[in-house]
Amino acid sequence: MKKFLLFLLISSFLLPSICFGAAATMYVTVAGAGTKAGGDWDNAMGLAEWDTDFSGSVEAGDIYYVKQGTYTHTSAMTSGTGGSATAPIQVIGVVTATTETPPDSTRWAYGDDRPLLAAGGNTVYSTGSYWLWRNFRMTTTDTHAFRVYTNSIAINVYVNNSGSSGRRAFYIAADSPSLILCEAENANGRAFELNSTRFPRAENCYAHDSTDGFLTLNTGGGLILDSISSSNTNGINLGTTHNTIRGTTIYGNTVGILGGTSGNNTITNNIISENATGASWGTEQASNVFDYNSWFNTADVVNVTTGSNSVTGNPLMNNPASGDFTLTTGSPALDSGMKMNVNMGTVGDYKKNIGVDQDDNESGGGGSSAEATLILNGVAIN
Amino acid sequence: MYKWILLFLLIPSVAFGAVNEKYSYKDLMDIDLSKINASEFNNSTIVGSNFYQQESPDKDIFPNGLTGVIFEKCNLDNVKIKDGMVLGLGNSNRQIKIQNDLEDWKVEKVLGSWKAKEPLNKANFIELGISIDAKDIPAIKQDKSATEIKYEEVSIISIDK
Repeated sequence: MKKFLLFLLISSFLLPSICFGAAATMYVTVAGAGTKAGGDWDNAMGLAEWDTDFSGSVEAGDIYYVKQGTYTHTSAMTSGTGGSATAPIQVIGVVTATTETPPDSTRWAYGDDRPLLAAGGNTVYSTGSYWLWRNFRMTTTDTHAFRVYTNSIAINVYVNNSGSSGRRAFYIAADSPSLILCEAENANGRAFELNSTRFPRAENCYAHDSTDGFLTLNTGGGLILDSISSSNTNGINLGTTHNTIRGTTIYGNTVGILGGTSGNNTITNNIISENATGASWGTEQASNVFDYNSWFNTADVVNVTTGSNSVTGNPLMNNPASGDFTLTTGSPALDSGMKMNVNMGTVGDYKKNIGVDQDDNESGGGGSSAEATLILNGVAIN
Repeated sequence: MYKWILLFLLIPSVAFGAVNEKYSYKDLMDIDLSKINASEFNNSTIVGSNFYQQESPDKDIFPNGLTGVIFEKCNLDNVKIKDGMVLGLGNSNRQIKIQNDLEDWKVEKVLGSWKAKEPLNKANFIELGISIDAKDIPAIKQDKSATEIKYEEVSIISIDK
């Protein structure tokens, strides 16, 4: 009898942890270390252990800290598990020198320090909701490559898809996925495909050297904000209606914005420069709003009315052919954007540049190694 | 008895071959290494690198004259395994080719030509309800991939809800 009571007592402590495992913080390196259980850096998971956990055991609130290095995938690494609004699943790339458990944001990886997911013909993704990816790079040829689904966010992620025609680097789907500070190229396909039932969002993103820089499909209402699309066949290809394109620099594409029959779009404060055609629609759509854009193309528009506050002439960017889209002194795009309206109850002159550069004093010279604080839905996300 | 002696001789070379720092943990996708001197690879272990060659099954990307080159945890999909290359633990060496459905399929050589066996991302096909039988691959090249068509259908269904 005593043994049975002892068994019950021990079970009462153990069973909850077995049946309802608590969210865990886990550590991952390329080769792994110690027991490879992932509880700290000395016992970090290797790629194989991470794959097993990611595919089978991940749960809401889990955090993976993944250290700088090349992670070569010999099969797809996928999960269908989701997090929640208060307990997202986070996957965070950190630099080699990280020893802290957990590390803080000073250890986040940028540029070539970001962990590289060398996926080959495979890919790494979750179809679950509430995932947050930050600080990664991926090379792949997969059809849909880096996927972001419902209420999930990718920040500071670079993807290069070198696969065959029509594939994607980023594929964001389902309900309200977001990409922030992400970069993509896809020589034979789409850099960013916004293929979502509701409000896919790309903010501060950079699409280049692709067939489509940004492509909207399905029913979307896509948001392309404060981004750059350069050196693509189509800078932005609208396959849907009700999109917002704002504060974006669209440079050096065959067609800056390809609209087809897309209507109900709001396209303001964008630099549309040195494209063969700036914006081209199959038939004019009266429901579209174009205004406060800067136009400087071989042919500015086909079947598009540009709006009464348009700016023409060279926007005088520093060196856009080499990736510097900042404005020089005297640019007609300075302070020419649509401002916050005084009818909103605000006071003062809220100046706004056209295009992605909002700093009048910027002289160019490459990206920063750190991010500014970003606010999404009222919450600081970096 | 001879098997045990052979195993005894082989294990040290597999387990303790010097790691080739230059070619380990590198992303070398679609890169042809055949012009590189074999001595850069010989008698070393290459760990965790990606040598995937898209759309070209059995591609010969390493130089001739290799000896004692051990691969561990490498992606060697579509790479021809030739004399002197030893596959240790954790590699993949699948042969992959895009079919008329515009999807990647694992293939095998039958009477000199590459025949589709099963989709590379089989789990995704099953999840989307797409046939994984190679007989169902369209006879002519499609405009959209099988998964893209299915994703569009799924989106339409979810909108209808």
